[in-house]
Amino acid sequence: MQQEHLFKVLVIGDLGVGKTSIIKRYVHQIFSQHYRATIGVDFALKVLNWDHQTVIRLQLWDIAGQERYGNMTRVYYREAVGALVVFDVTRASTFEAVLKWKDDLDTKVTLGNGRPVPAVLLANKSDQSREGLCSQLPKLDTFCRDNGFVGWFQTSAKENTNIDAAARCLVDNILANEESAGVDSDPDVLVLPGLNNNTKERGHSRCATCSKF
Amino acid sequence: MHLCLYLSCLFACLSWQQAFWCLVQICEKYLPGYYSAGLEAIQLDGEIFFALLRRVCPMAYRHLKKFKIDPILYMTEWFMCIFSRTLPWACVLRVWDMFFCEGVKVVFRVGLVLLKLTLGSVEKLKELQGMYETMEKLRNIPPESVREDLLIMEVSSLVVTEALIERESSIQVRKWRESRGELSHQPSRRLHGTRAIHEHKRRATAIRSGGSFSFLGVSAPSPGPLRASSSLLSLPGFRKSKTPFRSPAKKASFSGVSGFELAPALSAPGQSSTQNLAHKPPSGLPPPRAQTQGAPPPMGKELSEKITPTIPSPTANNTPLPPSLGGAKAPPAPMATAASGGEEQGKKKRRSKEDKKKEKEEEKHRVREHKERDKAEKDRQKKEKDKKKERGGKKKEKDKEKEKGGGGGGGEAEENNGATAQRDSA
Repeated sequence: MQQEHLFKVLVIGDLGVGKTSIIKRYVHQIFSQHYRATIGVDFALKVLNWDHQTVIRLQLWDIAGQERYGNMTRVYYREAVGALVVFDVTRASTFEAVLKWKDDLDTKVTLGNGRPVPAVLLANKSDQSREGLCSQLPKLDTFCRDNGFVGWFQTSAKENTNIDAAARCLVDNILANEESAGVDSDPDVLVLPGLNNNTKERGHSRCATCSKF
Repeated sequence: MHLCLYLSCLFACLSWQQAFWCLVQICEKYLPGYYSAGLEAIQLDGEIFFALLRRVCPMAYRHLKKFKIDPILYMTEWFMCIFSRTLPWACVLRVWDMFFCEGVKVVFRVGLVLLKLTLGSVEKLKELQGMYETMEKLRNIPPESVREDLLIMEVSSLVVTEALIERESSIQVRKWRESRGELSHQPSRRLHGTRAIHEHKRRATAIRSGGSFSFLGVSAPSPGPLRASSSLLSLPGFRKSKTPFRSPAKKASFSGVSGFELAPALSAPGQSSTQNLAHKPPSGLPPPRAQTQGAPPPMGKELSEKITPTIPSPTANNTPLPPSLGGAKAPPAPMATAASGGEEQGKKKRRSKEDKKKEKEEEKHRVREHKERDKAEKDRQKKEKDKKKERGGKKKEKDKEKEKGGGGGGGEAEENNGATAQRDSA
């Protein structure tokens, strides 16, 4: 019996860190050097054949990074179940803004059970900084633990590194939350007992690189 | 900003200074607050837009409401870029042309037409059963589905007047203040098109040169922000720069920028600016007024039949037109723009200083009436509610009557008589 899930996932982070590029790469397998600021919000849909029983439709909300849209984020975040928080490894200021974005997220949206939505941290443009921030990256494990990220990935939209892995990590966490929320909250979804274990196993094996708590 | 880019494309024939001042005019006069921190003005216009949609296309309104699609999710890009990212280039040129001429109401109208186009029929909605599907459709309007001539025809036949927008604006401002507190921008600062800007500028100049303040209405926009930019323009250096179509008759005026090519169509024919039109290469831009007048009456009639039933009488359509506007009575109401376009020009030819004075007084009067009008509107709604309870049957009749009445007025007439008519209906 096939299950279908629809998840709203936010992609947030400072101006020009590559949110739109990550989505373009992930959904349309394209990359463009040309920069075009997102106005307000953009959308994309990624369909994942998670396993032979599960189809996941990821609704990716590409939120404009400019500060002036800050007032509108409450509308954009509504009913989201996961988030990718992106920063640019070549610009330290974008990393400093990560906490600002995380705070904004946590104050404006929570899961049905009141817990914060799972967020994965993406250190984007890894192709551009072979030296730079690399030395600091190990510290990100602690940073994630301290600030409630479920994991982090070094990504490059240009070279297509780790974007799929990051999305899988996030979906794992979203699915785990769905399960813990219980069947009663979503009567349309039938969760098979065998699937629970299965998903958890998958989660562990796939998220080897990211720190899970 | 991308707007700059489009401006430079649109006005390839202008110098960079002129393009820059166009941008300034857009940001300060046409769309104040649109590009400032917090984007309050956009959110407010989103609410106004949604309220207007309820009148213009209830089906689309219900659909968007059903799937909880907030206006800022789709209209932010439309309004902030004035459709330059949404429409095909040929449409963008026409829309921008009209926008410079007539102001923000064009933006509202184009948005409403697009929603009617995408969500205006049962078949179309069948394919869009979901928030994502709807959003996807609204954000990727297929270019082949929008033809510029049809778009402009629809846009000009839509009865969404400045008066209606201003009225809805005051309602939404009140709601905003109740729910979210004070606004940091003044919605009243917005000016509707070249004519309004020119008038405003003229008044500001009068004040500067020692004129009286008396004709400025109670809530008339302060001349402050205008001075900043206009004073720069009137710097000797700038004035000496070659501005071929700057009319010598309007020395200190802003027309070199705001009115540039539109000035001839909008200003009195006595002014020599008309001759200067020849200096301006056409460069693919059709003559500004041509489109609004272009929609021939018979076509408008056809459209009007489709549109009228969905529109309850906006502010003041049920008052008889003043004698000077007799000509506008012949075409049906939804032709307002097209009709009033020609009407406007004719009227302007006739307009003397006396008329202007009269208009000023009228405006003053209107501003004063504005508050009363809101109050009256509230009372009226209350009364209507009561009546509804008492005799539900009669209400329908009243509505019918209202719709019938809606066919009587033109945009211009409404502007002038908005206040009185409101009072009458109240």
